[in-house]
Amino acid sequence: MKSFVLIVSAVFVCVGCSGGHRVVSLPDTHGAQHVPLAAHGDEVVVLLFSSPDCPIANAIAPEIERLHQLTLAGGGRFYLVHARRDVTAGGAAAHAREFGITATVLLDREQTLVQIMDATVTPELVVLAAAQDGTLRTTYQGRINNLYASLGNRRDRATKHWGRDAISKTLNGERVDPPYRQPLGCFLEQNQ
Amino acid sequence: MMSLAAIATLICGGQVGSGSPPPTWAHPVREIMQTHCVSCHHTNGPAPFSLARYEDVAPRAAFVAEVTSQHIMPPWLPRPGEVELRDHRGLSPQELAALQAWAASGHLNGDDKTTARVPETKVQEVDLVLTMPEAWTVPAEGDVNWGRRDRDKWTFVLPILNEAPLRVQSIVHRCSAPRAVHAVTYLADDTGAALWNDQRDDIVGSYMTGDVRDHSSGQCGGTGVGSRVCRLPQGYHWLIPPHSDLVMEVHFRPTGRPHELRESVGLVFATDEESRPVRSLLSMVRRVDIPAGESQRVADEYVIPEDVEAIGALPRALGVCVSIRIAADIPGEGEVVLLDVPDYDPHWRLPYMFESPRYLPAGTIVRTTWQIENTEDNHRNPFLPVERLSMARRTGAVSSLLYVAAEGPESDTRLQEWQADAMRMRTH
Ligand code: HEC
Repeated sequence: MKSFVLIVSAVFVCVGCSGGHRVVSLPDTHGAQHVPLAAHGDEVVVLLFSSPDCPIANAIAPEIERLHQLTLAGGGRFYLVHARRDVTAGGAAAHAREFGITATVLLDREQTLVQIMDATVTPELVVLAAAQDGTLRTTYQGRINNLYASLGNRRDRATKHWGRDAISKTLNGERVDPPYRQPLGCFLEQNQ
Repeated sequence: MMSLAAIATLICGGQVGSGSPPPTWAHPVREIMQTHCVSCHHTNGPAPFSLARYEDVAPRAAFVAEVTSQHIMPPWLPRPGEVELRDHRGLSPQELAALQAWAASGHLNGDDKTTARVPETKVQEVDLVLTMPEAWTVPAEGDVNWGRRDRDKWTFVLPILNEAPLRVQSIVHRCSAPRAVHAVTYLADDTGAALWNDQRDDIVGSYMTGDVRDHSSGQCGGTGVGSRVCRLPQGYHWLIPPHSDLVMEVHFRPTGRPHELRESVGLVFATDEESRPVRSLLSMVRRVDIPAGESQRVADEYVIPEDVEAIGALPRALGVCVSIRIAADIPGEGEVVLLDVPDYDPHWRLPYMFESPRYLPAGTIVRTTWQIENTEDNHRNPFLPVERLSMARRTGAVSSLLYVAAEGPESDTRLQEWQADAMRMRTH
């Protein structure tokens, strides 16, 4: 797996560049393969790293679905990515049903996408947009909202919605500022 | 995340230092999970995942080390103090260091295929079961109204239909949505006021607090995550008057999906003929008025008029309150801290029972202080965006209960009269 790791900056990721080109293909819960980082024209791609039993990610499930709808409405692609070896297709599908998530759910068992994107926790959002040269660049990475102030320290409701803001701005071709907000959640640890 | 330097210090300089073999699942991690975690972290338990198997814990080794070292897990609010608390939770410094070292040294298994034993959930025999007549749904998430005022709690009224008084030693909460239901407090209401209030609309329960008139929810104890049985020590009971309703104030935590709630509460009667009734002495500050962005320490004190045994204490306040301390100034002995909650979180609060009843002679002064932070930085402040906080309630904008038993029936009667007078003085 290590040969797959790209050293990338936290802010700008060049996934389609010559030399660094990696076609990451991952299965969804029905077994169909997807290439989430394929750049099609001026599309926006949204990745949301999650875990079916992380309470911090699950707590924002309705917001995840709203982000999915927001992305679709703007013509983008949205993927919920589970990055643990012990998550099965059936388990991930049941989780999506239980929490009302209708987005495409990818299984990143080898943590390939996690490593390319430098994701560290769940939930963590990555918003990418195709640049002029056809490569995908990260416009925003990190926290979705401020429901949690710190681990174990949860507000009754979120009052800041950085994820929505980042997706809307990216869909409108605007800059997201800041492009990175330290995410907070369940650690994405190395697989066994 | 933990710094590598910190981990190195722990491995080299900590309790599990050089020379001793690295910690493994076989020893001591499995025992730590068994003693401190799996009571909640088992399949279908109140916590979101199991920590019983090596395969459950190893992929979370660093996360487990982090939440334990930050004292987020296991959840337990009181600081260890002079009065020992029953069923207290917490890891020793050695156990904390072992979990950190285990994470840093590659979470070795140590050739152990066994699983941390989950304590048997004995179906506790109860004498009477009360069940909500219909279900109520906990929403998937908090919305703008959720968390404001009292809306992250809901109160249900369960008629007991008892002709005679009941002497209840334990309250057993059979929770239908253990991941969404946090702190619950109970009160027996023989005035009909709670039921009347509930029946004003078609929705089961209401978004009021569980307080009824001058009576504070929690007078019949409370239950919470991982502690769904509230048991008084042998020889003590809650006295439920004839024709009462059990009023349960339920604190929710939305989990991202809706949960159907249909709660049952079992009552276990006291068998001991000599058993003594437990009364709740209320500390409270009736009104608080704090400008936006400011903090205030508020306090209350009263003098206990009779010799009593103190059984335990319950802190009660919204998340705008960040710490609560209850101390007794005992004649001839000085101050004893009965309960000290330095980082109060209403979701994790429980009635804290003392390891053994604490004698408090007549003349003991009970002093309670609450630190209230009406700021944006107080993340548990339900009143966001922050505005002037002006709150008043007959049973206290902030309060706490001290559970006590008088030495005999006459003393108990005097104690109750004193309590009723004190409430009248304060609230009228
Ligand atoms: C009294 C029940 C209880 C005990 C005991 C307990 N937990 Fe938890 N734990 C929970 C609940 C409930 C959550 C879900 C978080 C929430 O609701 O805020 C949780 C969440 C977690 C999380 C996810 C992080 C988070 O804050 O949500 C980790 C990791 C964890 N627990 C580890 C442990 C470990 C390790 C132990 C033992 C040392 C332990 N827990 C003991 C109830 C418990």
